[in-house]
Amino acid sequence: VRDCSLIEQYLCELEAGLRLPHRVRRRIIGEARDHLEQLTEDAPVDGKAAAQAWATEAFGEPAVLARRFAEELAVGASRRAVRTGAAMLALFLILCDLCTSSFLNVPLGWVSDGHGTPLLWIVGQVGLVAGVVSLVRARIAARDDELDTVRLRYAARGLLVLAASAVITVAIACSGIATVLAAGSAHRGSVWLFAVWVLVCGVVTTVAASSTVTASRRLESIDDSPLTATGREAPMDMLAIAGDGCSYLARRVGLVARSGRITAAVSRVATAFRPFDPSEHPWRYASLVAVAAGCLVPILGFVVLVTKGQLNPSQVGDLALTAPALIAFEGTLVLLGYAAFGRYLGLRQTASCRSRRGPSA
Amino acid sequence: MSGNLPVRGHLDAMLLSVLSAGPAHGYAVIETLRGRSGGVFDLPEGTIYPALHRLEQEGLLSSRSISVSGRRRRVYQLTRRGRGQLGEHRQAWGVFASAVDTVLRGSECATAR
Repeated sequence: VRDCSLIEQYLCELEAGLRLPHRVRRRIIGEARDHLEQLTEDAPVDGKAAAQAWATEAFGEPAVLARRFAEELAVGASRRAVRTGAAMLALFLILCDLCTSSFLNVPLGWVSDGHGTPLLWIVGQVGLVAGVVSLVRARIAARDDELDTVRLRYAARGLLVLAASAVITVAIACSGIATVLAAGSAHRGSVWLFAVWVLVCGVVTTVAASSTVTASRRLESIDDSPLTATGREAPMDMLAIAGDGCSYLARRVGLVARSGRITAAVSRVATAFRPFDPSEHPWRYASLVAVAAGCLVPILGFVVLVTKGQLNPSQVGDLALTAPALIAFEGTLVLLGYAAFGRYLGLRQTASCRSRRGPSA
Repeated sequence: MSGNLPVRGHLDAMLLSVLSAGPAHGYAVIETLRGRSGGVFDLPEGTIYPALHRLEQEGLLSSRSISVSGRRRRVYQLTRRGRGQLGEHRQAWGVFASAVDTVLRGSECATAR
């Protein structure tokens, strides 16, 4: 039986405002519940409902409290973001090395076949998507008058992913350029391809970073902003503050809702998928995106072959053989990316509180 | 600016001071804080938790979950580092309060003349 008491409603509101790891959220909610129950017992009013109302009022506004948690724990959150970014970077570098040396059997580097490798494109995709999302969010954040510290965290996280992707792309590009230069003039065209790619990453990174810094500077007008902190913690605070806007921006831009409508439309067409609300079924939604992304790769490969006029029966056969592997590979990557970054970048939310609150409202 | 900002500026030191007497849970901490200040520091009850969490994150406090009368409660206590920090806070506050007192009394004397 669902408890629809004032205290539970209050805790739901508080939990919805907390953009913190699940473990920390659970602990905060547990402590708040204990405190509120004690306050209710000690309330100087008669009646359970009145006592609960008094207790929740004495405890403070849930939104204010959530914001205070975000401010106080911002340094720890940004440290976690840096650690995660470093771990992702290390993982990608190891993966890159493994792919070049053994799986793909490319002895000299990334572009000896003149077309780059699938991994290059995947890293590029991650960098581009993270970059564009961060850029859009940061640009909007820079113009918004209602920013607070809770709303900006995700911009910093997006930037972190973007920075890691850009570093990896630059490393891969350098490796490719060196390989092409060593191999002679046959692959000069690839050098230009890499140079343009690096330039795009650099421009996106710079613009996104400058927008986010501009956005975070606007927070100086907010009371008790950690921006007023001095010493070595200030830059970390600033990074965290700069990121908080994206949870707000994700909602404001309506990325999740819009992509949800598209998915719902697609799923209505496909008999295999009944219409569903992506916010209620995030993993189902992610699976659909994964399959779509996986299908897109061999289709694009086919288009490239047709465009180049290289379509012959043997290549079509090769494509048909590699297509399932590519679909599975891309699909797995999209799902992994969604699992790793979905909540991190504010693309999906915790559903527990929403489901609890729904019927009681 | 928030009306309780002056309290927030010294909240860390006050929380450490309250917990220097022994381990306590959040409810007891705010009760003690209110009692010791004679009701002057009447903060919204929830506001001490973000500060307690941060102090724990910084290693000045530690916490553990215990069962009291069938209810799970998280109890905070001072770490050795927290004790050292409290000493520094007390010393800094002593110097600051003494200086402010001297300045205020000085202006009082000047006015009297």
